[in-house]
Amino acid sequence: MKKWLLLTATALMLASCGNGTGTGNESGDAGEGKTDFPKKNIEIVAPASPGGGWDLTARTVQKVLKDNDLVDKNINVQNKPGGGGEVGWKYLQKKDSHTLAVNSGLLVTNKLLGTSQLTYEDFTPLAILATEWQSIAVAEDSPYETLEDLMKAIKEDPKGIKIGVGPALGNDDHLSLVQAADEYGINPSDLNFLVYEGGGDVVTALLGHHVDFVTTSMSEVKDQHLAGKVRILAISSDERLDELKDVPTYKEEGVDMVFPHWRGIMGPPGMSEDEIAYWDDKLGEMVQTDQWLDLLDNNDWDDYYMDSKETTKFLGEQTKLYEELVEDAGLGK
Amino acid sequence: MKKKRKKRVPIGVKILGLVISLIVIIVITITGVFIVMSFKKDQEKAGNIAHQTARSLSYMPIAQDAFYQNEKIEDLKNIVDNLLEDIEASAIVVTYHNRFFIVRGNPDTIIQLMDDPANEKALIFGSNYVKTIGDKKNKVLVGVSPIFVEHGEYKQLEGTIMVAYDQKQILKDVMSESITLLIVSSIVLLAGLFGSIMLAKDIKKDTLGLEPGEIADLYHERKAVFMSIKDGLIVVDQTGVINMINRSAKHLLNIKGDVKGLHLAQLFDGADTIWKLSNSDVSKEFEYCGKVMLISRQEVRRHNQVKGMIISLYDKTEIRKMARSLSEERHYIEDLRAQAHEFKNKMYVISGLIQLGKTREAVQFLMEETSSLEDQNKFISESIKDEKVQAIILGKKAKASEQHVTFNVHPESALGILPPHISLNALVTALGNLIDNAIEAVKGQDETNVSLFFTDVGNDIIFEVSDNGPGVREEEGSVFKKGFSTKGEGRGYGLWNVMMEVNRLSGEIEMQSNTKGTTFTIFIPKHP
Repeated sequence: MKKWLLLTATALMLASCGNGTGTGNESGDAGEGKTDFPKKNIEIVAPASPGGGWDLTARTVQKVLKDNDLVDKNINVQNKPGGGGEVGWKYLQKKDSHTLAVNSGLLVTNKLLGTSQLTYEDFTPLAILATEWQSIAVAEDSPYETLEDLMKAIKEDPKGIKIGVGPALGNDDHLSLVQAADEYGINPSDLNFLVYEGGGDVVTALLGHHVDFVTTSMSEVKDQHLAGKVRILAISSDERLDELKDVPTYKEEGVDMVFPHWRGIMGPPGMSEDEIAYWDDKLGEMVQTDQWLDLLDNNDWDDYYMDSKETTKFLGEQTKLYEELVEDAGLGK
Repeated sequence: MKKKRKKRVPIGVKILGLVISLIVIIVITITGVFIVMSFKKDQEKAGNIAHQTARSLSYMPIAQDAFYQNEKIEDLKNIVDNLLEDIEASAIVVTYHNRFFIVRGNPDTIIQLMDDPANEKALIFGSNYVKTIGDKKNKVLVGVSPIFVEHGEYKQLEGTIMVAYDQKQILKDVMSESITLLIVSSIVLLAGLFGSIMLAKDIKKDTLGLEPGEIADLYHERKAVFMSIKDGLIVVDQTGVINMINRSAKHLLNIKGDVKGLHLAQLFDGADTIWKLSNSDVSKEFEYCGKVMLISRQEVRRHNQVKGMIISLYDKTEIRKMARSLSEERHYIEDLRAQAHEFKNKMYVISGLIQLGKTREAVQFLMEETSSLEDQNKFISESIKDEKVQAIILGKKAKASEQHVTFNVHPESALGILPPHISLNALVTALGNLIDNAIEAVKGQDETNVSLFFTDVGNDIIFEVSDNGPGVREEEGSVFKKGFSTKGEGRGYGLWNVMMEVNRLSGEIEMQSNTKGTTFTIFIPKHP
């Protein structure tokens, strides 16, 4: 018995010696890395095909950082489409701190909807950059003058009112309406959604009276609203927007909800504090440049910048919010 | 608190126990790991298949058409049946919204799906996923996909497909796969059993059927016996390297410290004589450091090959000492008897004179005798302060008188008290032997004269014994050799003993001899 104990003790000692040297080397390497970040070219992953919102975000960040000489090294944009962001983000997980990826609410909802196991905690959140706002719009000749009119009608006959949405259920367009319906006491599974290929098709369907109303990004219907062809009944921002002074917020319409369709950027897991501080510094500078603000305006985005700490906190809150939303809906309340 | 002695486990049981427990642990671990890994892998595979099947089924136009065309329902049922068989799923369910539309497969699984529909999220959010339902004992993996019905421009979420795998079924399949592994392990276990029994047998053969514990006991016992033997024992291997040596041997050979691993030749001079002993039964006398010992050897043989040797040393010095002191005692008694005989003779003379009525002559004879005795004694007691020497000389005087040998102490002789390192025994041996030899040498001659001179003037104490015997013919050296004697067999230890004693006292001995007489002189330093 004593012999066994002795053997075990020896083995443990050997093992601990092995570990000791290992960690020593690793910390040494990390120490060198701190001082001269970035050491090589920066890569920004857009987890979607070129032309989409994520691609646009990635390329805008690339352009502004480069044009303003904020980063010495070259910056490349990589498109990794598939799985609602899953493919690109899994790619990021395996890279070092010179690779970043853009993200959005899908990072939170994918897990909740069962399509992915990834959460924001698997990465290093760096910043929330901008947001769009959700809107609910009807045709100009629609009988529904206010959000309240519309919700009452849905409550009376959920199947009778056709809702246009695109390109898929489970996105922010869909979720924002689910939340609003939930606030009105409507069972989300009773809603009659017609799923179109994209935002443009949704508006076309609305103009063609194929649907009774649509839930989509404000930017999709803004021009038609200004042209008087559609009517935006509510917007998900906390205050009325400058360019759409006549449109009330959800809050004004009695739905206690602010629903940003945000876009952010994150790095792979395990980034050092110095690396995080580097991006806080650079991205903080970037969002203050005139070029960035101009591009936001052009894309109908709002400045929604948060640094790494605020972003982490925000993502925690978002997770909780979506969780409640999805679980409540799942229970068929 | 006395502990009861632990019962020893036989070596065979020990080996068998170790091997069996090792093999069993390995088998259990490997089988367990195999089952867990396979189960995990199969589960993951089942999840993937469930997910993919649900998804691809949902894309099939027939799944959408069946909701609206009754004749397509049978076709969809057939497809689902085929799929169920192909992918070995437990159940496949198609729902129209939340109503179960087509159900195929294991009724238990279907009931579980009805109790806890896994498709809620798919029905609201249109997402694809794998969900686990049921309690711990009855887990079911469900792959869920929404069915969107295409309407040209747009599509609508109309139903879901659920493909379910019962975890119990997966586990059952894995278990049946692991049976092969268990059979192979059992064979290994049997081989291990056989091997360990053989090993135990082999070990016992090597140890003459003794258990290791018994061997250890034997070893300790034998070692104690070996160490406690009074005779010196040395065990060497076939090359002469020492394996064991006991206390007595060390004492006899004046060795201190550890000598294990040394060669015999490094141990003491003359060790090579041991090798010259041809017959192991014969012992030989051997002298070392003033000690006399009998040396003998016994070969250790195994399988008829000499594996080593046991050398035994038997100290004869002690016996010799005993024999000598016995003979000294005998001399004393002899001397006393001689003295008594002398007086008896004188008593006869006195008694004769008195019987003859010659009282005056008797008185005169008595007076003469006593005065000469007193003179002598007085001289001896005055010239010799040491009582030990006095006793020896008086004894020898009586012996000489009985043998009719004239024995004189030189009138110039004088001796103080002897230093304590000169023992009576040594003096008896040295002086007694020399005087006895001298008396013996002159006995039977017409004119006999033995004289003793001693003095302690200077650094040495000198004794000189002279006789007028026929002299010693031999070379001076050989007379001191052991066994030298002109007196016949079995004698000749006297002078050798004398020399040994003188040497021990760091003294010297000299002899001068011619046909007219012999003189022995002993020089003993006062300070050794």
